[in-house]
Amino acid sequence: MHFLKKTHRQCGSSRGERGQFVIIAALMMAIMIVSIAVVMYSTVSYYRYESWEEYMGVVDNVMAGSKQVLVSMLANYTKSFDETGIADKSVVGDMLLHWATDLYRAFPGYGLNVSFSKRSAFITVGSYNRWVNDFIKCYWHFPEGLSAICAEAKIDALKFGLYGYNTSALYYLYAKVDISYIAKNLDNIQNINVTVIQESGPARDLTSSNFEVLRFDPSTNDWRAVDLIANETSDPGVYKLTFKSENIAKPYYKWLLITVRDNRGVRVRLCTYTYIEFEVERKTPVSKMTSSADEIYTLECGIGGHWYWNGKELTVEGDITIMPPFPPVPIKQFRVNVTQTGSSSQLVASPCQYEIWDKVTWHNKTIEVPRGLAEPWARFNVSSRIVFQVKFPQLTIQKQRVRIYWLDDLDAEPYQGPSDLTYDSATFTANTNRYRVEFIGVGHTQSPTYPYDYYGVAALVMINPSNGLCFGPWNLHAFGISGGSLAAWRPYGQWQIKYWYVNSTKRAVVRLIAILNSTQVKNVYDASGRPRSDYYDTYAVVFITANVKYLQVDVHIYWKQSKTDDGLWFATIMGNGGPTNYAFLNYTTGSVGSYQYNYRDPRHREYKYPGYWAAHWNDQFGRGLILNDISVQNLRSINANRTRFSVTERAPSGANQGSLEFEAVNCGGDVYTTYAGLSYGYALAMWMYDGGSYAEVNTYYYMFLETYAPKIWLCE
Amino acid sequence: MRVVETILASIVIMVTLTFVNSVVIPPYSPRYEATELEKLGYNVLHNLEARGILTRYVYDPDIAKGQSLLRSALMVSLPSDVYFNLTIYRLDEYGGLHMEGQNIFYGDPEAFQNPKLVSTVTYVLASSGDYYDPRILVLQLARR
Repeated sequence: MHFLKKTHRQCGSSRGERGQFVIIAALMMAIMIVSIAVVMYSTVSYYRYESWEEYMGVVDNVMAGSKQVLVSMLANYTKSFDETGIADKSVVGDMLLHWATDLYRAFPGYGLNVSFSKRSAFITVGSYNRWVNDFIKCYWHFPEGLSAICAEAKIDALKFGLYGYNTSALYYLYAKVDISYIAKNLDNIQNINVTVIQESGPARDLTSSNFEVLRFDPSTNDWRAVDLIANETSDPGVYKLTFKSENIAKPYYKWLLITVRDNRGVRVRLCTYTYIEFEVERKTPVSKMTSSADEIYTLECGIGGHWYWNGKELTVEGDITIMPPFPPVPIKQFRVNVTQTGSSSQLVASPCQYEIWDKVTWHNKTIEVPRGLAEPWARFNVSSRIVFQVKFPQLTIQKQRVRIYWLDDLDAEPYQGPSDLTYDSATFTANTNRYRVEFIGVGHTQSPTYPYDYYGVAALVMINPSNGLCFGPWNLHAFGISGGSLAAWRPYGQWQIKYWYVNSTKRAVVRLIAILNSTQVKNVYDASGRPRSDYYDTYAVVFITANVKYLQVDVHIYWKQSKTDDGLWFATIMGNGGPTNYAFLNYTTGSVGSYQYNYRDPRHREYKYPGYWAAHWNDQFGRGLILNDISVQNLRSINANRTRFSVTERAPSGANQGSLEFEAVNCGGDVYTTYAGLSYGYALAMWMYDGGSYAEVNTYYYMFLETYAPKIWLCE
Repeated sequence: MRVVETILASIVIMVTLTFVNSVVIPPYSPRYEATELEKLGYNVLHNLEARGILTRYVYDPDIAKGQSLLRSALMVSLPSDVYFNLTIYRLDEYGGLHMEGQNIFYGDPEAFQNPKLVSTVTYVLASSGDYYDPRILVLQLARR
């Protein structure tokens, strides 16, 4: 029993030792758990103390503020453009820099360095997609439009050890007007549907005040707002705009402008149409022409259905009587497509440019003159004209179709396609592939290609671009004789060259405009004589046109005082001894008189009854001077009995000349006395060709006559 | 006996875990209070801005009215035992700070006496929506 007890005690002791071991093991495990817990605790506490929340808060604040900056900039940009037509994208970078600087100031202890950079994004809404780059992009004046801003932000916060945190931001407003109603050909409409979407989804919080619809009002010839009520349809973001006080009748409902402004202030302007189309019909007498390869018209298209060619407003006919209005789009957005082989052929891009014209009261007479090239951002208005060219390269082509359309990208530059027109301001020289013109006048009195100093008299020195041969000057107007030399008193002044767009580095591609607005004349033969202000004023406009064989001059003369002298010239063009033959169209008989210059017995030769043209030429080159109807009438208006076509075969220096001259009063008879208030104008075109005969001038002069001016056809 | 030992060991482990658990749960200690309040402050300001309230009240042309409304909004958004003192500054184009209106204050001024227990949150607004016109909001928070 004792043994058993002992054994039992021994066994109990062994169990007891094992139990103690288990307890010790449990205690050790507990100590390990506590140790791990302490480590975990300190770890958690460490990251809590490192304040991830704080830095996230700062980053969130930066991005939320940046969103405010970006959206407000987009709102201001679109508002400015919508209301004034002017928007400056360059302020975006400056403003973001300002914002980054202010953030640095606001968080002085954070070492916060925020920088913004441009980033491109491709936005797709249904089938509509556009690139957004250069911070802000606006695509307006189409049935679908977009205003968007996109930037990338890089954030460094030295306090948190945060470097190079990059994130991008994109905010936009997209809108679309449903134009399916136009195809239904309804008599009138009472509502339209507009879809509005933002970067976060359909815009649901818009009311009537967020929409503006403009319709064209024919009574005022201007755009007018329509009262409307906007209600969101069952489709999210789709609004039905119901016109409250009027239905819009056909065809005016085709031409609507819709402006959408979301509650952030971001705007989009939509147009229900994207182009204006019409046809140009030639009226030249095909039966009298042998070719029309060079029959190229440089037309001007103004607002309200007005077209012009060679100073004449063209007649308009057509199936529809109402010209679609030009939307108030920046003029640089416009482009022109023209058919090449008839109105049903394919439209091809045509060079175009944008000009500003003024109606000027000049000595109690209203004249329309170009001010110059347009300011590219200016909206198309009553002063604007789009200039483009229409060709009729074959006699069988009677009509060409023209489409004037506009680009939706508000960043579009003025059309700057290939052009053979250049201007070198250092040499005062304009070039085309057909001719070179050097502007002589105050500031540039003599051409290196012509041996006579003009002492400030304004003239055009004509040069053959292929061989540099100078034909001599084209004198715009002249009066009197000086020491036996003809055409003494000529317009004096400086040419204003209009080759560059206003506030732009972009240039003219269709034609250069040169303007001479002078109140003085000068005796070109008297080097020491001063300019005089007691003769006549001159307003002359020269069009140097690309891609054609002609240049045009429009001249207005007003006499301030009575003067007596020999001869009054509308134009004299020198020959520098180059031409061998000359000819002119007889106004009375309609026949052509053709002659040879006689340099062996040089004289001033006069011929009665000058008509629409005169020309001189040799085997290499030829030049024609073409007058339109009104110019011939004005030439004959002073004294029809003394009107002459004339040539002068010798220059005052004794050199061969070979000129062409139109004299309103011939210098070969008695003196003529002008009177104060005598006023007249004339339009001349010079036709530059390869010589050989006068046939080309006799073929193409029709296109400059008012009787044969092209006609405009409006079409659906 | 092994059963008893096992039960004892289990009890020791459970007690240990209970102890550890009670330690791991962050205490409301003064050491971490400032961070907690900063987090709270950022969240409240951010939420108010996301809802458009903050911008509307800060840029209210009637400054007194806007600040009164902002005080109410903060009182509703923050726990009742958190005191605040909000100062709004206008930043001019030269970087100068100009205080807008008055301090927007709620609570016991003594709660802000100990800087260690006061949390400061800086928040920037860039624009009211029309044009760039930054405001800097300095929000001080303290717990009762």
